[in-house]
Amino acid sequence: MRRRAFVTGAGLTLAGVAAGGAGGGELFLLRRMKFEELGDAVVVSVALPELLPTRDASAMQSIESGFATTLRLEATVVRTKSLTPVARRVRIVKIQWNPWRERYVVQTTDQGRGAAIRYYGKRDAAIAHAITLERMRVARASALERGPSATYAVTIVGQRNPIDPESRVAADDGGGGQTRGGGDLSAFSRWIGVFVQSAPRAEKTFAVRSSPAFYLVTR
Amino acid sequence: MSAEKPERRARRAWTRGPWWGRLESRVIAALVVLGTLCVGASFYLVTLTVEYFDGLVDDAIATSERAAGLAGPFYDGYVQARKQAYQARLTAMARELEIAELRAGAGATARAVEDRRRRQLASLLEREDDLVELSLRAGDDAITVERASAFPEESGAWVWVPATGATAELAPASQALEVAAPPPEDALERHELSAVFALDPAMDRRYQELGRLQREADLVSVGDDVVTRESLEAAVFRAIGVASALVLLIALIAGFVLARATTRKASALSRVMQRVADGELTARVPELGNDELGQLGWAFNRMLDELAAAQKKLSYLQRVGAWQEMARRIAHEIKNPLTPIQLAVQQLREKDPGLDPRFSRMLATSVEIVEDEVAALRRMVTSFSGFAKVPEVRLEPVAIARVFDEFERAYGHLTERESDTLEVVRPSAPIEIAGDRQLLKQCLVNFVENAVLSGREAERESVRVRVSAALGQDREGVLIRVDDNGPGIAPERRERVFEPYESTRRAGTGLGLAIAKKIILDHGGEIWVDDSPLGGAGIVVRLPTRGAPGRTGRV
Repeated sequence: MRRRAFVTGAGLTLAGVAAGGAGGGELFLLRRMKFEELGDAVVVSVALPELLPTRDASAMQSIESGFATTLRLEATVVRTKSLTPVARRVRIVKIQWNPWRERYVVQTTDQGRGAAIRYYGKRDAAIAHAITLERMRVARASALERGPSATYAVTIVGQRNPIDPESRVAADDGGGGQTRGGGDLSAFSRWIGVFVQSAPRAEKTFAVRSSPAFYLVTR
Repeated sequence: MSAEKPERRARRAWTRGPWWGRLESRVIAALVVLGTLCVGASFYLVTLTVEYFDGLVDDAIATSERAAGLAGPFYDGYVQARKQAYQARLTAMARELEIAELRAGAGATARAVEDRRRRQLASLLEREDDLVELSLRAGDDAITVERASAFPEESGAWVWVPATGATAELAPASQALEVAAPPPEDALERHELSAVFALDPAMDRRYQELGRLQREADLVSVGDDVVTRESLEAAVFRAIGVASALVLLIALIAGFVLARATTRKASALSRVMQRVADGELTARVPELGNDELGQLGWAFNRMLDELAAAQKKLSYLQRVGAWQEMARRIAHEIKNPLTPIQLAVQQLREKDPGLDPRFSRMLATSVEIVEDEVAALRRMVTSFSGFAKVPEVRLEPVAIARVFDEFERAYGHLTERESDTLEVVRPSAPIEIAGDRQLLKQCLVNFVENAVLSGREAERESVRVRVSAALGQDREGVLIRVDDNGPGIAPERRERVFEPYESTRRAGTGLGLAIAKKIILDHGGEIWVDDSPLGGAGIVVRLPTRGAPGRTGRV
């Protein structure tokens, strides 16, 4: 496997707002990331410990109770000048305590690929693996321009236990109480919906953006 | 009652107050305050209701969380118990292997012993439904049986639970036991028995669902969105606030329209009253509908009409009175020298010596001229005296038909020409009025004389005059008409013909209609000139019937 180091640049914007995808308005923190070109793939390595901090007692209690914790990581490659998305990849990570075998299970599913499962005896080790993107494929190298004039950044929006309204509707067997009760109540529910300002997309959302940016060296 | 003197009140100018002091502003302000109070009270009640039920939901969620918290240890206990059960079953199977070994006895080869043990493991595997794999291990040697094919579902659909730690004290497979008696313990070898059990994952799935519910207990579905309860509560307050504001706005607009419709009428009344107070008696309140304000405007207009009519009548009577006084003085001043003049000329005629025929003829002619003029002056003085001494009206119950009868009987042949006709049409039903019979007849004579003389001046071949009477439309008065086929009266002159010394005829004195009008007014009636169906003029007199109030619409 051929490995190529990247030349990194600086002087990018300090923070931005994600456009589209799972982002939808999150404020990005700048974070140094490691980029590599492996064959035709551009991979990124970065850790997002803020998404599942071990000091979060509630989250740790949830894991210890045997409930699965899902992390959804959406990595988007954007042009630094225009912030135009170039490529997007999604990774789903599930971390769960298996009380039968008394070990932590971390299941990683990348977009278009099968699931990879790893087992850990220690919770912190399992969490460290779950929150770390180790050489995650984010784009095809052939899809990116080369040279220092074409700089790219990667935004990663991480969601802990994302909320899926459709699964809630299916689980609630009809969509909750707001839609029951006849036409008047349904109309009132729609009227209320007009004034709902922010809908949470996950139990916790954390977004970072690579800084400095990267570019592919010219061959 | 105000102690303010009238003259002081009159001097004080009426000024329009500021906008906040107007009735319209007060009504709207009252509606705003009332609407705001109602909407505000409703909003406050809704807020209390929402917070009350939010508290109930909080309690319910807390209860659910406590229940979910209890479910965790329960699930752990369940897992541990289930694993202990698996361990116990595995130990039991180890004991079964030991017993089977004893029953089988000695004398078998190592190969036969391994085959027998494999069959025993397979038998156990067959017997236990949830057993997937069973393995007997001693050192590096192991016998394993499995039936993964018995679970065609994918492995992820099951929970695989391994059980280890069970031991079976069996003879080494390489050593045949010689006797059926229990072998000495030191002759046995420790075998490790392990198994893998398959567990239906339904409970695990339900437990995971419990975790999801616990995690999302504070979330609420609103349409296609999922929001937190705090966000929903804020949205409910905003929605109700906006709805209340809309309701208040609609109420304000409706109230403004209603208040405007009412206060507009009051303003119109106020403006007209102010104009009347400024002396503009012709001002009238516009049509304001059928409500109380409309009735008030109608009554105010009627009051103004009657006031104007009364003023007009008073003015007319004052003018007539002035003319009567002047006529009386003129008649008095002229009448006194007429007799001496007439006596003087008579003496001149009598004292003529007849010496000169030419002088006698000239004297006779002069005396005749003077006597004619004196006679003319006498007639004029008589007219003036008659006008100045219009008798006072004495009202008494009288039937119109009787007045007509007496008029026709006394004055039915006012004209000597056969071609002239006078038609008297009596009312179809008896009509009784409070009137002066003689003066009413005098009026009728005057009207008919005017009609005949006007017709003759217009050189009509035959003069037609019709006198008729009928009840008015409101049945509160009687209409007496005198129609003719004369030249008529131009509309612009119809008001003036009743003024003293105004006449449509060349030889008229202009006093007849003035006297008639005064008489009619003294009856509480009214008189005017109308077009006649006969082609000429129509004098119309409205007199109140007995018991009905006098009308002062026209004078």
